[in-house]
Amino acid sequence: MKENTAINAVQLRDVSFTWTGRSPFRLDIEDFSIASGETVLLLGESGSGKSTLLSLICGVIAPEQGDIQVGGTRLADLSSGARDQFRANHIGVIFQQFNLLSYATALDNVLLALHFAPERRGRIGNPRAEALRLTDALGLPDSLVINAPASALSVGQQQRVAVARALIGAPALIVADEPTSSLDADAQASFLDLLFAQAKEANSTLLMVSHDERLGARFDRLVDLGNVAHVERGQAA
Amino acid sequence: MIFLRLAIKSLISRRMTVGLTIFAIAMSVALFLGVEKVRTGAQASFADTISDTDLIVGARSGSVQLLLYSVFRIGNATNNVSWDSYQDIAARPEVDWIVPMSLGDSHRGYRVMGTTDAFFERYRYRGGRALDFANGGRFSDLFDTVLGADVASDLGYKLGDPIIVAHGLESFTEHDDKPFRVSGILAKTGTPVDRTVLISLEGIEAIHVDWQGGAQRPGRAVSADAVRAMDLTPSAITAALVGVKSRLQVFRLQREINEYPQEPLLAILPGVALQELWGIVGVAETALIGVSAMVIATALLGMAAMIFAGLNERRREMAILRALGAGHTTIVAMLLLEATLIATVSAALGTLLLYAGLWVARPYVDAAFGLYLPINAPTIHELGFLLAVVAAAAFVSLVPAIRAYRMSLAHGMTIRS
Amino acid sequence: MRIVAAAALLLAGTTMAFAEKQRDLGAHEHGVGQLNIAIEGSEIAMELTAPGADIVGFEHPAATEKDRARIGAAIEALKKAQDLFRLTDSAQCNVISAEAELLAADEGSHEEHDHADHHEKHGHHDDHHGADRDDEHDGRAHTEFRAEYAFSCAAPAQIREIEFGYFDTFPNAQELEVQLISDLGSRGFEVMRDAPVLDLEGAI
Repeated sequence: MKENTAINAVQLRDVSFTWTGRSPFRLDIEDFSIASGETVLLLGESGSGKSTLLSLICGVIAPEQGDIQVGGTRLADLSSGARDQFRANHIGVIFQQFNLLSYATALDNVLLALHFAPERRGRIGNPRAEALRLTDALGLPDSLVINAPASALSVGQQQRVAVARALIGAPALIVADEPTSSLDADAQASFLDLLFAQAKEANSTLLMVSHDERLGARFDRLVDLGNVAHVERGQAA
Repeated sequence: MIFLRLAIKSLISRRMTVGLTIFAIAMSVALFLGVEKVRTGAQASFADTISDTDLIVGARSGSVQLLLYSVFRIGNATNNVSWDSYQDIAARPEVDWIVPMSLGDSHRGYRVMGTTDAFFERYRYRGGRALDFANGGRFSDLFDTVLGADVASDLGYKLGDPIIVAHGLESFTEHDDKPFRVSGILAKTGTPVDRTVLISLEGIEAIHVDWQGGAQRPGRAVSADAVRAMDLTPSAITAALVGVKSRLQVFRLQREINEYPQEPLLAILPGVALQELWGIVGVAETALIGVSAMVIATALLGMAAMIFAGLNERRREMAILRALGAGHTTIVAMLLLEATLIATVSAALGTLLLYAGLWVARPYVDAAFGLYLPINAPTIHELGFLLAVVAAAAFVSLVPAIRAYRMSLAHGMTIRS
Repeated sequence: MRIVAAAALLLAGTTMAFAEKQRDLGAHEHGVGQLNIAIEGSEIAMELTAPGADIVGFEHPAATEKDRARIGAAIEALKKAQDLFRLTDSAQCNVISAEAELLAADEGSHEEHDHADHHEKHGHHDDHHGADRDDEHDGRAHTEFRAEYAFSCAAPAQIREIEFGYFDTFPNAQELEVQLISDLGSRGFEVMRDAPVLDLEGAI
């Protein structure tokens, strides 16, 4: 499937996935790709299959058919354990909220990412210093990062810790699932400034999902999920 | 290491439920170990009570009954052994020594035993130890008494103090016309001898000379002085301890006594009767151990339930770990680690509780039950048990762990909060 | 200790029947024999008492030539101590003496005869009710074999176990109640047909 272009950061072809849970649905994606280093905003309302799409890209779930490549690696070629390892090494994930283990310190939350990712760990001399450098750059005071449990941080602070965790060790791809929706407008702006600055520094590709079109101006490309993915609901499991 | 640190922090963040779970398991562990300690303590204590006696002879009854009333002063003889039969046995060529025992009276809740000087010479306990006097000595007068260590210390008697023997075990009629005088106090033995008031066989006879059917014969009282002039050969005794000249003859003598034609008698080997007793007590012991094992099982299931119930709240945690690259096995391992930590802390705390409990209860148990509980380092057996508890904890936590595994499979990275 | 013993007494009371069974070493139960073992220095004395039912398969007086032959053969078999009770080889035990006899049941033989009939009617019940049992005790209707053995061992400390060929020789025997006395005191054991070995580790 590799074409004459450079290796894409993300590439999906003829992928279909069926969810057989309590509210069954089916997701089909004919063709979707993100170039290396690109920043893409994927627009979609809740229920448009964006979480499923992200889970597919991260290799947490596997499609019935079709081809998913991340950084040139075909996920279907990897065992489930190897996919977990691959995700750890190459993808930084930021959720909408509740990103952190509440009982652990922010520092431990950031360092935990390296525990599963030897490649990212290998790029860093001193993990602790690097973690503190990132949180510092993200405007978090050291004392808060080192000593307080994550639950003591404000939502905005927690999201910034999540950014630091996603970025540490410079993974090739950052996946962010509505990371700003729990923040107010001012906080959103400064959060995105920080995210973009750090992602650029790490040379990471950025895929962000949101329902908020206004954020689009910052991104290289804006994609409407409805144009990429086709969702069918209510099929009996 | 980061996992251990995170697991500990995670447990601490749930300190209330986790603490209660740990406490429940620790209590169950302490209970089990405690039952085991009491059991082995009791066995050792019983086995140490009599040694070097080849046969115990009494009226025909059950061998356990004979053992209990003759050696442990528990229960009563249903019949006596006539003095003639006793003399016949004593005269047999196989018999090396014989110690008569006459039971049935009491002093302030302690049993009174009539015997001879041979008791002090022949009675052995704890692998052949002889009785020692802490104070004074054997009977030198008809109305002399020797007290066991506990009798003297509990009732505060010293040499020369007077003692009134009560008729029977729980009666208010007393042989108050013939008081005894403390001539000796025995050193502590850890056996029922400590709780016995010893008087001479003749002394027993002397206080009963003018008694009939549980009361003094009215108008026919014999004074303490007058009784000295009388023939005080007893008509019957309760039991006798026998040593044989050669062990090879023990069974012949036992058979002769069991088949003694003039009177139904029973001769038992103390060790055999003791084992029979354990056979009977064993049922209760097994039940007790079974119950305490069930208590542990219940506590461990409680732990599994606690972990299980927490899973829903911790979906977020699972999803975060999955997103960071944790495999399913990591999720399972994390929960097993959690259970193992809980059980390890519980086992340690339980052991601590046991020793604290032993330390507090020991003087009381010793005083009230005559049972000395040794405090010593955990045995290999006990350490093995503690390990088994930890392993069992890991095993039962497989249930929530597998549930968590399924959840992480099904929910992917979606977080519902 | 008292509380344990008190519980024991209580239990002992409720299981008096059980205790009763063992009170009298002459108690007669088909399939169950008694073996007494006394060890002193290099000498070992053993005493076996077993119901006729276990040894020859019947307890009525020898009426036929065949019965008498079986009793004779049984007594010869009972004298082969080294076959019946195999002591650990390295202890180097030799049989010094072995005697066996059929205990004459009741001297007044007519009562015994009556009783034998009575017994047949009942079949071979193992548990006898009270009246029956007293009867037997007085009347001695059950026949018993008794054997006495003396061993001398060069290295008695080497004795670890006794293997019971006894159960091979006498297929009707099911169990032996063993009493043992040695320097370490007395102990009781039960040896069953399906595990015909007595482990004496720590008992001598």
